[in-house]
Amino acid sequence: MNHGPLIFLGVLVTFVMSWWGLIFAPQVQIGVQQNASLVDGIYPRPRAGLAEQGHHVYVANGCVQCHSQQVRQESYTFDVVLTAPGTNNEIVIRALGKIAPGINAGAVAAAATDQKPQTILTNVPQGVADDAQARLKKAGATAKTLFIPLGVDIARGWGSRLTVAADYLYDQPVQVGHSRLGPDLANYGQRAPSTKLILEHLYDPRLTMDKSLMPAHRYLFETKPVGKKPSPDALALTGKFAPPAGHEVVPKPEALQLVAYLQSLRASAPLFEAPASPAPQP
Amino acid sequence: MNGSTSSSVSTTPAPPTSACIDSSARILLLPIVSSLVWLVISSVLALIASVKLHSPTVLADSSWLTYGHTRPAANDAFVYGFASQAGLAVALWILCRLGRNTLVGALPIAIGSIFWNLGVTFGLVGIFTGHTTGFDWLEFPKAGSFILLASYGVLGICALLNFRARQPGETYPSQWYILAALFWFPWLFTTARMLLVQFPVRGVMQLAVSGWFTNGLFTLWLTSLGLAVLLYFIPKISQAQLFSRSLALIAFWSLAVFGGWAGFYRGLPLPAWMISTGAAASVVLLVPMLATVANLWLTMGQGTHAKSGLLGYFKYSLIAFALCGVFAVFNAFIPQLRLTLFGEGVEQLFLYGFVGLALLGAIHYLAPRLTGQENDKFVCWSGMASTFGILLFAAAFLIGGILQQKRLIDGSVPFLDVMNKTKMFIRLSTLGVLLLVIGNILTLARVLLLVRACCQACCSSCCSESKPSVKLKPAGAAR
Repeated sequence: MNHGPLIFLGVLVTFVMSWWGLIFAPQVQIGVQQNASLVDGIYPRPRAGLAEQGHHVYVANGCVQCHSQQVRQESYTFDVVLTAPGTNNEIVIRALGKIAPGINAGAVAAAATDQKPQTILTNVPQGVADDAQARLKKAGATAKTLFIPLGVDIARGWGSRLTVAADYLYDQPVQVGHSRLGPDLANYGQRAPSTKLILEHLYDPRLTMDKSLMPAHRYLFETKPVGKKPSPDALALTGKFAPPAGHEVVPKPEALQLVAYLQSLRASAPLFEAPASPAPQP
Repeated sequence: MNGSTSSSVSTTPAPPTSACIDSSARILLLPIVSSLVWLVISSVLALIASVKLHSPTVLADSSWLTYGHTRPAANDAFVYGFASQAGLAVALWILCRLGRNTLVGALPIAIGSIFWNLGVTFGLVGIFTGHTTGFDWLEFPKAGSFILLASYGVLGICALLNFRARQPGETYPSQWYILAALFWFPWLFTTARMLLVQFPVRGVMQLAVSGWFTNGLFTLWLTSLGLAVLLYFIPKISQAQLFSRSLALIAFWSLAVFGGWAGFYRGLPLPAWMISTGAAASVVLLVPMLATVANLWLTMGQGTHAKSGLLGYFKYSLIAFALCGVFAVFNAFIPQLRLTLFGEGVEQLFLYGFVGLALLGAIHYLAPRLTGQENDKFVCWSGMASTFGILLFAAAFLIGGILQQKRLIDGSVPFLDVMNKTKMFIRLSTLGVLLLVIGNILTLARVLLLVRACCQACCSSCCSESKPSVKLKPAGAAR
């Protein structure tokens, strides 16, 4: 240990090892990932122009300091739904009675269609679900097994499934986040209110949420004298939020871009590595 | 002055005295003072960010001072402005003292330091004006990063030259850590910048690179600097031999081998094996932590316990280091915890508690020796303010974070309530940051007073004895 070169060599080798393991190997594994082909096209798709500009506004203002974009899944369960009762009603009803003695088999079998799948089993392990599906198939009916992701984030309504590598393919820089001082935004586009409400929330979050701790972003807006007629996109502000008389608050282009980006945030398409079933009720 | 001392080294084999080395290293006051200025700036920015966390309407009309700018700016000012710069300066001094050589390359060090500060300034202005790269700890835009790296090249090469200029003999653990850190930093920084900003990798690979970089920056670069300081100063101040060289050897190599592997935590959208590797590495990293803490603690126990106020800095720094190692394991295993205040609490405990206290203690030790002046003003007060400040801040964030995590995993508590119930802890942490600001200003004040006294002493000797000064110079150097 009394020779500089020895230390240098050791340090170099250990460093290259960690580079090899955590940069090179994952690059080979996931660095060349391509879009997934889904029934309704490829996923993900590049963002539209305005939303892409909004991504830069999001980065520039350091939104990532408080908002994460990652949905976690802690476990999963299965539901079984009946989509078509088939032709032999009697056998199907008997099978249903065996699978799920609690339900009104006759009514379920009568009501089941592709558009209105009827739930037979909820919250069961995979073996039970597979078994039920096999029995119904034997009886001539068609049943589907739904994959239900479970987790705190999903219970909070932050997403319908966990977020995976494919969701971030077009993000540069990726803003996964390290802190949840604000809610997760991975699926904000799905639950986002109207453009007007998002703008108001950006102008001063206390406008839309009384106890919000989010900083106001008033610098994304311009307070200017009202022209001949009021601007169409001026915010409707009243009370203590109202601008001085004869003035109006108009969003700057950055604010509109940011809103477009926020509305584009959705990581919910069911993927092979992150299955999710479309929510049965809104 | 330099010429006379180096010529005396070449003619006589006796190594230079400590006072001689110190006066040759006077130029290090430049990086030290500027790093303290950055420290004050960083803590003021952290104070603004902290206030904004519980009072979001404060300063809301300024785009420069929005939370999304002040938080990363405070972090980067600390890591690049203070910790890296002061760490390099202290490391240079430790290399000189351990190698028993006078400082080599005073002029390049001065130039490197000036450009380093320029780089940090450019980088911070870039963050404030929204030109951040968007990656944690790598927010500095192009201009800032390039200047930083170029000036690092100068400073790093100077440090290597100083290591080479050492007197023959056994090396000390501090030298290993410094030498390793000198290589790790540029490799980490350039690799991460290349793969994230210049030729960006795709999708979550960015996450892998940025997680690897963040972990390397903390576990390899900053930890090495901090441990080099602790391993040097704790035996020195407690006047004891380092308890065990083999323990230090184990700690160094286990840190080198496993240090680069931690940093990924549960829930990231990365392949599962990477998450497991990260969690496993954070457990294995308890080995170097325990080895170092035991080693230094036993060293302190052997010491004669000279009542020096400075030992407190290093002792609390060591405790913070131990706690950070343990909390890193929590972070890796407990779901959601990393995303709450807890994660940031551990980060700040590491930065201000471990690295900050170690470097502040070192600066308080160095400043009188480099200036050749005596002045113990503020040492006690700034130490108390810094220690209690980080204690309050970290405790508030850690406890607040744990409570937040409890409420977060209970889906029935609305998110708004989760945040509002942690408000009290955030207010407490603001108080902690305020104490840190006071402590940092006091430290800066003390060092500036010493520098002023040094300049006055230097000027008066030049003015009053302008003619015979040529003759007197060697005498001054020997003193």
